[in-house]
Amino acid sequence: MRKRVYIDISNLYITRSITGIQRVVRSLVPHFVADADLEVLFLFFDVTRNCFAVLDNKDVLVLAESLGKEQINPVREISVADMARDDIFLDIDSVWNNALKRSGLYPKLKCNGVKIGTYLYDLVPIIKPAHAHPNTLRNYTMFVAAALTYSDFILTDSRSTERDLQELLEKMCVDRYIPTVVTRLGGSFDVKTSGPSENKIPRKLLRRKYLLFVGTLEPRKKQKLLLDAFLGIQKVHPEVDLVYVGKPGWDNGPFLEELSSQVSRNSHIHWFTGLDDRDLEKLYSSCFLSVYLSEYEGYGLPIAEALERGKPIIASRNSSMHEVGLDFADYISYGSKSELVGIIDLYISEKKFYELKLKRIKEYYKPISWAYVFRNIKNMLNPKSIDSCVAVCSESANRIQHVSISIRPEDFERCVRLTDRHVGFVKEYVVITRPDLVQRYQSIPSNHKIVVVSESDVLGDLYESFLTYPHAKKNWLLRSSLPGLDVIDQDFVMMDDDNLPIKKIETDYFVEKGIFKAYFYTDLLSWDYTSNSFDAAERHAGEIAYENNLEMLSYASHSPQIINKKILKEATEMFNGSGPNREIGEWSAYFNYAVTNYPTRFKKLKYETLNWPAHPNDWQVLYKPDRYSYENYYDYTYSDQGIFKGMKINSGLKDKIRLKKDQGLRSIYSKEYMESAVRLSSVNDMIHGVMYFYGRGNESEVALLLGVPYLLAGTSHTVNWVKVSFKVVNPKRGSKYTLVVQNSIGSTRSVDLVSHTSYRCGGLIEGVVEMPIHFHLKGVKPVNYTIKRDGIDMHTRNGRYDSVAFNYEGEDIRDSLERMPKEELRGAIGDL
Amino acid sequence: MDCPDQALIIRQKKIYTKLIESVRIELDRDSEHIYYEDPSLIHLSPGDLKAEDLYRVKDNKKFVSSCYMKLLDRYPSEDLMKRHLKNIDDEGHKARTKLLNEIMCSQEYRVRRVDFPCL
Repeated sequence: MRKRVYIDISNLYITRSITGIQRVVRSLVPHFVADADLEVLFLFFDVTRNCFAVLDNKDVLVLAESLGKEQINPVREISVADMARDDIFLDIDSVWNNALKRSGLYPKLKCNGVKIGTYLYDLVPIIKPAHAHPNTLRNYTMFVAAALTYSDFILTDSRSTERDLQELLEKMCVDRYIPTVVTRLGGSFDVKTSGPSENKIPRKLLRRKYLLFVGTLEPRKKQKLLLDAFLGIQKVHPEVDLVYVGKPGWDNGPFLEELSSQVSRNSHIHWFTGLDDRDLEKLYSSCFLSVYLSEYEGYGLPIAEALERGKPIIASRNSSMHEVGLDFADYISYGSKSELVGIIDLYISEKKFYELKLKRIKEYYKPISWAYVFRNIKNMLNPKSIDSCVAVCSESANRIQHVSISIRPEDFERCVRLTDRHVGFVKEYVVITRPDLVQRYQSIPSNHKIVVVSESDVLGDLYESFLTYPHAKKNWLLRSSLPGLDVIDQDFVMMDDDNLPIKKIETDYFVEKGIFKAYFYTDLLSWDYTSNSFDAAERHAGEIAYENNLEMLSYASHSPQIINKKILKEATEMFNGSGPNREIGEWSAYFNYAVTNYPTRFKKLKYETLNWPAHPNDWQVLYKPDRYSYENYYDYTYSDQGIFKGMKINSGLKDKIRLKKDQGLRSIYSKEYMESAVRLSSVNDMIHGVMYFYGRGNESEVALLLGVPYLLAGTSHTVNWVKVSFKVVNPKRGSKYTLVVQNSIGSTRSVDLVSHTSYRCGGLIEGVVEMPIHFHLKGVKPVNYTIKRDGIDMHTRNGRYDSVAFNYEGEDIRDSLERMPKEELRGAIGDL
Repeated sequence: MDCPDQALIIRQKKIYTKLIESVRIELDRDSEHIYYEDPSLIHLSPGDLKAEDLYRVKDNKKFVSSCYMKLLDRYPSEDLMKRHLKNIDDEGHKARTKLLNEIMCSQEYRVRRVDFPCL
């Protein structure tokens, strides 16, 4: 039986807009209409009759493609009372502007047992209310309150918005579980709008070299920053034009006046409003470079639109922007003019770089299709069945198999001993190990049966080559083989031998009321580390997840997690389909597949693992656990140099948590101190836009570092990370490029750029590096940046590149600056 | 079970009130000019709204803005607000009734967003 879905498109009908949310609605309409499993009824709310009118789907298809304002004859009226239990009312339009407010509609739908699904494109009016029109504030707060109270599920376009939503739920003390899924958005103009094109774009403009900014002209989008940067750039590059596309927005009077005035007296500045898709397509296709500098976004469609047309884009690195632009876009991280001018100038001046960038985007950027977006929505509307006794009859399932891959018998023995003690629902252990360790594992004592399986039996012919693989690849191969093993149950707990329970664990840690729990610890896209095969596996998992429009969290939370065998089989098939012999993070592969394809059956939760990371300096922590259930065991944490020195493994939990908290607090303070310094750099435009390092004797070989703040800060014995993009144009084949951060406050660190490379082809290397700034000695000292090629300094044309690092514990950076002896300050920033 | 579920309506009002508070804290500009719907009325659609629901709003300023927002989906200009408040001060409940009738009989109320052909 087809699932009935109601979609209110009153706002599209009234506005007939073709951009923003209405573009999303128009693009999704054909998929809803064509789907065989869904019976979709498109509605218009007639405020005078106080009821909905049902529209003919054929008419709605025409409406989706039409630029005109044709009227549609409704088929019939329908009231909320006519909607049946378990039908779905899905809001994907900008319904907060509708006459029928959701705060009044949703309670009525609930009365009838109708399920409510709401798309939250962003929470900008709540998070950045200064940028919202009072009407929007009024309507949006009501809409969000209704969604938080009544929605059965919520769709978001990015992880950033989903995260904002989770934080808002917490802030509003909403403790009910609302399934969410990230759908992302397409960049193509799939729906070809019909009607005569207005041809507003002069042909000669399309032949010029122009920068393009598409988006409503409002303060949040920061069009003014581009105008200011352009007026400077124009003096050096008079051949360049600037094109704005977008309607005038709210609260932007002074800028609109300035822009109008510039347009009237500067023939290189253009502003178009009300363009149809064909004109917009022409502008995108012919532009030199696209720019999108919004201060906050739910998604950032113009980024996807530019990349889909093979055009480079400069975007702000905030909110969801990096999720859309990935490593194909260039980012300004601190919203400064220096960064923007620096990158635009780079694109204009370095022709080879520009050409190679176009090539990279053309060959490797994979746009999200609207079909994939629809698939993610449909997974929520029409959940696939799941073969799982644990999930279906969780109350009665009191024994769950625990499965591990292990070649460290002592570690496994410790893990079993503690699991026996704290986990009351172990059915049996299954351990996969090396052939020579089978007997050793069989002798391990436990309250439960231990089934030992040899790696060679699992892998058969693949075993010989398996022996040569790095750690993470071995793990992937073994774990992805589990669905083929008869000994493995339909649902099982997958664990590692260093996952130690530290308190009594109940089944609801893994599954509750039929919902599997999925514990994540970070965002895959933010994992820019490259030091070992784990890092590589996480990055590969992220790449494949992106290509298949799966969610992109990292679930390698270093704690046991529950796995469904059927879903694991599906996930491994998808990930192995991306190509043989790749190392793939198995936890991230499984759960991102699962939460995207079975969104109603999985609950995403922050990890509850103590001692992950082992030290807060190891990597940038994005999420902090609210509670702890397992410990990630490392030998050295219990050594004389370790944080748990002198403590026993299974005791002193409170002390351990306190120690870890203290250790983490230093990093939190340090990070806050750094944020303050960076903010100060940003507002004073004290950012190195682009640093240029040239090859000795070959100035066409250029290494570039983008966006480094002049002011840095931290507290003693901590590391703060600065995310920096780098590029090498015309690299010398086979050479090693190293970024050297010479820090007179603490130490000198070298970062191998090649291992952080996300793209290398012909004459271009590009990547992102988390640049570590170590703080040891107190005081204010310069930090110097150089790039070495094969151990030899590349040279600069304008002297040194420095920042100033402050290590004044517990003080505001402004106070530090103000009370610093002038001579010291002058000395520190003398070269900047 | 009540329908609509009163417990849910109370929760909705609480969340709405908290959201408004959160937005007020976040706003760094004067938020006096932003009229939010009265929490006691947010669960009522224009079609379900009775005059008594509006009369129950004791605060005169909130009453005037609620009439506009519920029935016209906008808030009144500052001048209009001042005029209505003065009338209510002068004439009491009679002016409240008068305002409601004025809105209900207005062309704006009758044709609001009706650009849809008749069934």
